[in-house]
Amino acid sequence: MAPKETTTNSNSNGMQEFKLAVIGGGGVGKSALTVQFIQNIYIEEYDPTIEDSYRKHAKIDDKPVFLEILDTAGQEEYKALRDSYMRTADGFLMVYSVIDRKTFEEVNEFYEQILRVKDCDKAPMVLVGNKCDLESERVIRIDEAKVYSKQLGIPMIETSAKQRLNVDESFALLVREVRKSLKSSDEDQLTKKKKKPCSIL
Amino acid sequence: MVQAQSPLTGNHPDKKSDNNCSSATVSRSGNAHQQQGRNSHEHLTEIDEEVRVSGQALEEFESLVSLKIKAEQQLLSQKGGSKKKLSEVDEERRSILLLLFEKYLREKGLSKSAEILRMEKHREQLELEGFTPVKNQFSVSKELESNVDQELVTQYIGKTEKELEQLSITEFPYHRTMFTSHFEKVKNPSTNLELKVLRSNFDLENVLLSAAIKTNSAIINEKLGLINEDTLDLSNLDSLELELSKPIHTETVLRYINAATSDNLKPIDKICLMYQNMGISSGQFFTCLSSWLSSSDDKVTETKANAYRALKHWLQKYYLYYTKFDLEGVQAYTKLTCTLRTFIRSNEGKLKRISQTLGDNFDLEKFVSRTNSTFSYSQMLTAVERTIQQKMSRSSKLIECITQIETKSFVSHLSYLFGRLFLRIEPQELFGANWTKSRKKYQCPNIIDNIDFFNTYSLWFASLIVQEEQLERRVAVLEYLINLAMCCANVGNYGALYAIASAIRNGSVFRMKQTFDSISESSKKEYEKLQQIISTDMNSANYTKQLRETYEKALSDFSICCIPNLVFGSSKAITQIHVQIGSG
Repeated sequence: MAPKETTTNSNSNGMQEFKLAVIGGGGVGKSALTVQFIQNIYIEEYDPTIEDSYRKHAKIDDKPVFLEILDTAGQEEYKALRDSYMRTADGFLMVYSVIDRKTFEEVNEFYEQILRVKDCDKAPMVLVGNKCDLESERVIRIDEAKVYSKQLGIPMIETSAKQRLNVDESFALLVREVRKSLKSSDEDQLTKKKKKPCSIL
Repeated sequence: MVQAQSPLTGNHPDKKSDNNCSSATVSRSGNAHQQQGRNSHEHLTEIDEEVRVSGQALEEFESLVSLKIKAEQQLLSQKGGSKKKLSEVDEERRSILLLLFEKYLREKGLSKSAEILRMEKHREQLELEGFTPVKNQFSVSKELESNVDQELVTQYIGKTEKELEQLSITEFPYHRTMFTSHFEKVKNPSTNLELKVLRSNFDLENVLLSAAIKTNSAIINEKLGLINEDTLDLSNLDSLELELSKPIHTETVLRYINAATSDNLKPIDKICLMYQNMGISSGQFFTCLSSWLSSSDDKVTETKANAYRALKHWLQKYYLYYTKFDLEGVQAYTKLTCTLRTFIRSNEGKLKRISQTLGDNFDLEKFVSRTNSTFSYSQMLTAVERTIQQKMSRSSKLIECITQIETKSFVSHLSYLFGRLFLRIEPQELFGANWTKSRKKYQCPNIIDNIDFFNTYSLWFASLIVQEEQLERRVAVLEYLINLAMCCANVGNYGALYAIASAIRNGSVFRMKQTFDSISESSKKEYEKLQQIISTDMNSANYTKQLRETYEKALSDFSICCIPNLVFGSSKAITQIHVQIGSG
């Protein structure tokens, strides 16, 4: 069996279906972001009990999409599991906390691992700086993050799960990225038959 | 004085060899006595061969014993010991031999005769206390050789107790003359002697054979005569050992290996078993083969080809069983492996030429270095654990063994390891996902331990596959791991299940498309199932469902262990399970 695991990108209704993974260091607010996006509530504590709470229909750029969010909260230390979930997901929200430099530095590790697992030069990713409401405690300036995201060649956004600031936007950004990569890979298949990442910059 | 059926020195052969020996015993007597063609002629020749080989074993044994005694004597005389002291050493040796013979009788089920022998010895001892006859120091072996022979022993087999008694009475006066001289000085033969027997290098099987065989007495006498000379000094020890290490069974081995063809390897089996069961070092067999293989003649002769084939067969089939799970075996094995390696390395070209002629691409050196790390089962598991703890050394040491471990045992061992750690988790550690926060090491040390353990194991499983250079072996390991994961699922060990599954889905493993393509259909099906269980769809709904089911089952059936993977199980369920297990 060839280990092919590309997710079905459209369901029976012809609607696009994406699996998005929310990744990042411990305590950056992955769950808060996810739950805010899906249920419109802010949670303080991590409580992943309801199975259906990670699926959502959304309309992005006037096109309906069915999203399944993989919240990796609690698994930060399970490094051996990362390869497994990175392979299943179509796009990644790489979350760091603007009040914690360590989490920002960890992003690079995730970035490289994703590319390694996906075995290509580019994968749909968005860099997300969470907790931007805590302006007084901020240690990562937005310019710094922007420079870094440019370096990686991925879009960047700052969010606040608590105040529901840019939450939907960050997911929309990621969906666009996924669509873009799908389109480019389709084009690639038409032209060459060999996967080649597009260059958007 | 002697405990019946007491286990003797370390290299006691297995049951099979025991049977072999007694069958050889019976047939031998048939040969000598009846000669009525009850056994086929061919069989008799074979037996004769065996007898001859074992005779040579005796020869070695005897000369080594004598050498030892000689050395002891020299030491004693250097200390100003008298001739009297020398004879004391002899006495010891004699008593040991007799004791061994008695043991032999008991082991062969002739406890009656053994008892009589013991009584006889005891009586002699009392009668002749203080009496010191002047005797040739090697008389015992000669007498054992000539008097206590096989025919006598076999006569006892199949007799009723009464008959046995009768026989002993008629037979033992004859022996008494022989024993008379042996026990005059042994005043306290029980404990001291027993200890000495255990400490000595005497091999019961060899003594047994020495009693059984007369064929080689001429050679033995010659050898004994040689050692008997007073001129022998300690430096001769080396030369004698050298002599012994020479292939002395050459003819026999040659006949067997020439009889073997590439389709029929039975003769090689026969000779290998013969060596094994005789308790003779397999190294002897190897020495024979190596002498042909390393001969200066560059031409690939038939003998060489045959020897190569035999060596290969022996390596594949018998070399591994050399250890027999005991310490001495391991030591001897290590020594043998060293010799093997040096041999293979120094004769690389020659061996290559032969293998090319035979059209065979078996890599001797690789085989030896791979199998070198074969441990016994328990050692293997300890080693597995140790390797993990040492953060996984990169050597491929254990891989050969992994697929050899029975899945069931491996699963139970994994369950033990994972379960032990899981049970250490305190309920308060699970609150508030503290293990993801910066103070995790203080707030939830046991959870962190669990996670570290999980990661280490997962990486190790992955490395098992990746380290294999050949496709078939990789496939074998992969199939084994898939099977192992499913077994883990069946017993409810989800921690190990996830560790193995994530190892298989590790980037480095998953990349190997060929390996995944060549696994068997059944493994593919199992893999599909595995993927369903660990699928992250619907927030790992499949897994949580199954975990809950297992948990329900585990409440009533204690044979199921239910070790959840911390991440995906809902924290509530884990807490519940944890409390349950903790209280249970």
